[in-house]
Amino acid sequence: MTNEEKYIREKMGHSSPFRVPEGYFEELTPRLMQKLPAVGAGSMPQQKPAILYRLRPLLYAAACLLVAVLSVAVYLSDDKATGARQTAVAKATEVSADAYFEEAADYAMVDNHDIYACLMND
Amino acid sequence: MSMAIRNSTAAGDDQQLKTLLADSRTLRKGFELMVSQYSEQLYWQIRRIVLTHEDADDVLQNTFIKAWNGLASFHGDSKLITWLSRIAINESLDFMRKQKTIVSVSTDDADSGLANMLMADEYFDGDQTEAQLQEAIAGLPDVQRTVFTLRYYDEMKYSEISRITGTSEGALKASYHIAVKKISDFFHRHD
Repeated sequence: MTNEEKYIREKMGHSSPFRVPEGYFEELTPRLMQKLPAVGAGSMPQQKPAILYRLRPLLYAAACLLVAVLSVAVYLSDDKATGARQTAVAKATEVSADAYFEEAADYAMVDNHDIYACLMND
Repeated sequence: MSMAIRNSTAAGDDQQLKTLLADSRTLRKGFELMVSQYSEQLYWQIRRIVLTHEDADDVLQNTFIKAWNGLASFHGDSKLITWLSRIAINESLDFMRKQKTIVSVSTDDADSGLANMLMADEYFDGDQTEAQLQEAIAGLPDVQRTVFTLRYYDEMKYSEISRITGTSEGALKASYHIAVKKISDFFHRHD
């Protein structure tokens, strides 16, 4: 409560200046009912099934959970696909590097014996 | 009165009242229970806006007649008291707008008429300052007046007031604080 609210509560107090005639509320309902037309515009429309109405929060929660699970599943499957692509790229790179080395060795007319000798000298 | 109706009276169960109101065989009895349950609460909501007992009684009757005629288009998506309060508040504000027009036409100063009218009302026990306070509240714009009345006197939650008035909670909070400031200023001026 703000200070201004406290201030006006102190000023206005708790009692109301409004009064009603004696017995007003006791006879109010029958008097009001007498004023109503004999036939109204009709009854309230039928309600939705109470059980569905009560289950609505649960259904909303289930829908949110389903969306979350589906999102995670999509993310993970995408992750696996990315991993598979990366492995394939790595393998392709490896294969192409080996093929390049073989081709270079053939061009230089260098065999494995020469390569080992060169490495031993180093 | 059947056992089912007696139980719903005791429990004041909104859903049970709606069930009675949705069946043409129990419609009138259900409506009577609803009147019995909520008429006093609605009367005070109305009275704090229209100020005099006779006017509050008239507006209360009009509220229930409107509710009776409008039941077929109420789909039960809010509590009965919320629906009834909405009708009552709108009827009260409409009534005051018409009164203001009448008073401003018949007197040069519409505002001074209200405090004097209250002092002359046999069902108003307040003094001159209280009558002027009611006039100050009556001078607030509709949203400020409504939210002040419902929040200050009925301690109603903003969420409920929002459902009754169709105004956002943020706007209601702002309006309430402005109204409180204005009422506070009124008291400072009369200290």
